[in-house]
Amino acid sequence: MHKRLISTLLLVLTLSLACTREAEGPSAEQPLLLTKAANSAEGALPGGLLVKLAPGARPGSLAVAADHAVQRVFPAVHGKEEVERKYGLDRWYAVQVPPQESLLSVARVLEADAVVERFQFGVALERPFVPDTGLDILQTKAGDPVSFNDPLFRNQWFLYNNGNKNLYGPTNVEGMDVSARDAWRLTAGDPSIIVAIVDEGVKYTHPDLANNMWCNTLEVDGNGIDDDENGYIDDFHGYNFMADGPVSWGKSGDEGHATHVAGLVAAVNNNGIGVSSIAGGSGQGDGVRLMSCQIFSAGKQDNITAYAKAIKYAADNGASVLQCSFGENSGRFSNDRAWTDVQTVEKDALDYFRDPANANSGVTDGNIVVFSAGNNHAPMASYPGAYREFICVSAVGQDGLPGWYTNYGPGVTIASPGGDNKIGGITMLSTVPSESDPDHQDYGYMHGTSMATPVVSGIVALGLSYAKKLGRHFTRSEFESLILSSVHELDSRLTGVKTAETVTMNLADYKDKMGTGIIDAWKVLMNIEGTPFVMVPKGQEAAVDLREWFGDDAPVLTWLGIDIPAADREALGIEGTPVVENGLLKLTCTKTGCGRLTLRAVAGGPTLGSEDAAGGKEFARTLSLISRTNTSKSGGWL
Amino acid sequence: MKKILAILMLGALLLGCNKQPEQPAPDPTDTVREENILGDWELVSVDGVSPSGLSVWLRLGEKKTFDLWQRSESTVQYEHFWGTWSLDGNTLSGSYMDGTPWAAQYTVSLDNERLELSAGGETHVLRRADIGADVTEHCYSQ
Repeated sequence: MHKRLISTLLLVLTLSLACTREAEGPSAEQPLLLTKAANSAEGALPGGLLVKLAPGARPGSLAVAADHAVQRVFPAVHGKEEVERKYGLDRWYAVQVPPQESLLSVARVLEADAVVERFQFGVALERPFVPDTGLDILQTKAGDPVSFNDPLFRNQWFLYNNGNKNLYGPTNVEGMDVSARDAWRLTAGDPSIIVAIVDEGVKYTHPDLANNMWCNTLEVDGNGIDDDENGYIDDFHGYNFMADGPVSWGKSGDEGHATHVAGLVAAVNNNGIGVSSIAGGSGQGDGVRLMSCQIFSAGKQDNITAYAKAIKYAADNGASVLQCSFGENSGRFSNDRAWTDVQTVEKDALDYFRDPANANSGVTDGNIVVFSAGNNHAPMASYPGAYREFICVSAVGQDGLPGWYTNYGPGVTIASPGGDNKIGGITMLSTVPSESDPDHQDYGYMHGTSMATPVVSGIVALGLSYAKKLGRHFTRSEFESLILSSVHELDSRLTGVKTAETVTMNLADYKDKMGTGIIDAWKVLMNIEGTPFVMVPKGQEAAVDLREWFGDDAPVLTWLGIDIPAADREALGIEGTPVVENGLLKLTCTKTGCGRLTLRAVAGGPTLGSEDAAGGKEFARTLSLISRTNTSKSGGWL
Repeated sequence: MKKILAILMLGALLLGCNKQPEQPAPDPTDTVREENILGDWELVSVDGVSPSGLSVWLRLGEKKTFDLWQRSESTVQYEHFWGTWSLDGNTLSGSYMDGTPWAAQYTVSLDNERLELSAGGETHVLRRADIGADVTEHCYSQ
């Protein structure tokens, strides 16, 4: 009783202090400096704030807890406590703020509260896509034989492009695809590889998606009970973190974005209906699985809590690829420090997702994050995609040139087909919810970096599937390097202008700014198999063409270094310092022998992203060299 | 005197001829002939050094065709080359399927299931060994 009285007195005192601070706070003309705020209150979304407590602090000790609902953001997961603490996920709390109350006034209380380490306002996210209406879905002019029996495959030029200019547009380039048909000869997916679609809700009942949806086997679907006690009720194919309930897709304002994205990754292949997809299997139940992590609903988002929770949920429930076709406004952050310094809840969650302790594929030692670059037609990628640790995707159209809308420049690491609606022909065909389609169809066209990104995510998942099939293992960094080096060259075509209706693009502006090149699924699988050794003549300067290892853009890459272990240098008798010139590795070996060396380069732009400036991502490949007196031009041993 | 010397030399020659059949007969399979080098071979050394991280297999076929499988430890599948070969005396030469000649014409020696190919001061030693399905079924053609 005595303790309760003291507590009550303390609470009153705290409240009165808070009120005093508010009363004595700066006027609107002189705002209080919010040093603990991760971001600006300008444009903040209503509903609440997120708070990171100081280590050891309890949520009940928050001054705002007296008159606001305070709830832990991330449900604790048994067995994950250590890694949760590593990134401070156990210290993030959501403070609900009613609409009639000023977010800034609550922020001022948090600023003055000693138990608060950080807090942040909700920020709007952009989904860079545009639905394309008026295109006849069922255009099925004769094309080459297809691998699978999905009737709309011929409309998916990004999977296989036979140069049909009537269908794909007058500037279409034959072969402008990701070589999916070739890749499918080796693998079309693996059901143990899970891709988390962080987006709107995926229509998991869609006839072309249902069989590739991830199922939480510990949960009974629809019984209203949290069977697996993970904090989420009926999370069977994923969860709606926005509404704290089941995944939804047919509400007014829903745009079908997630269902389209999901279909590009893993619509069911070879089922006799609809479309094909990158990693949708061969019709034998062998597609990769899709987990719906819903953070948008009815055209709205919450104050970032859903976003962060979705990322952690994906890590905790087996996803090895995080597919994110959204981002903040291009220009909101100009460098990595600006993004990391604020220590947002989503940054903590993304670090958690990538931590080796949460590696889910059995192939890599960490999960892989793929973000879109954004559709602002801006010379810099949006964050978080621009952060140097993530794969960040720009978009090209049916013509193999930058889409008129795509962001480019610092932060972009790779390009992928995303369609272009202003050059004629069809864009990106995939699954859509009939509920949100104007014509109530199950398939539709969209374009944007939102569509380019799931193509990359699908290829990442396909690569993980193939590595699993071969029993190969990689570090996350090695695997990302394989992805970034498995590309078609783009820069040599970036001359002159491209006219997209009223938009005139000076293509030279995009040179060396679209990432390493256009992703190619076949090359990814070949690189996973390993690259053949290269023979160099003993006693002569050798010039090794590095395009096989680093993609066709090797001649224009910025090289960061060549690492040769001492034993390998000795075995090959390497004299002097090897150099790279115009994409050629030049070195002289004086001994007959074998050895390996590793080259490091910048993926996406001339400089690495750093704390001070957005930029590219380091990628590295290792070559096996054999030095011999006699070498054949064929590459054969004899 | 001259007659005596001539008789002694003739005797010596006859003795020499008589001794020849007493020496062990050379293993006919060690003679460098086409039929003796046919079959499967595995590379075991180059200039006396084991090719670490490297696997090379050679099959010399009866119809003067060859198959060559090679890979480094960083790859899963073997590269598969093929073409034709010929033996002239103890000189082995060949060309790949696209007409590209081998890197050199090799001087061949054969000794107890070991095939040595030498050219330009470089010697490759191969040992006779059956090529398994793990090689022939996990390859791609060049």
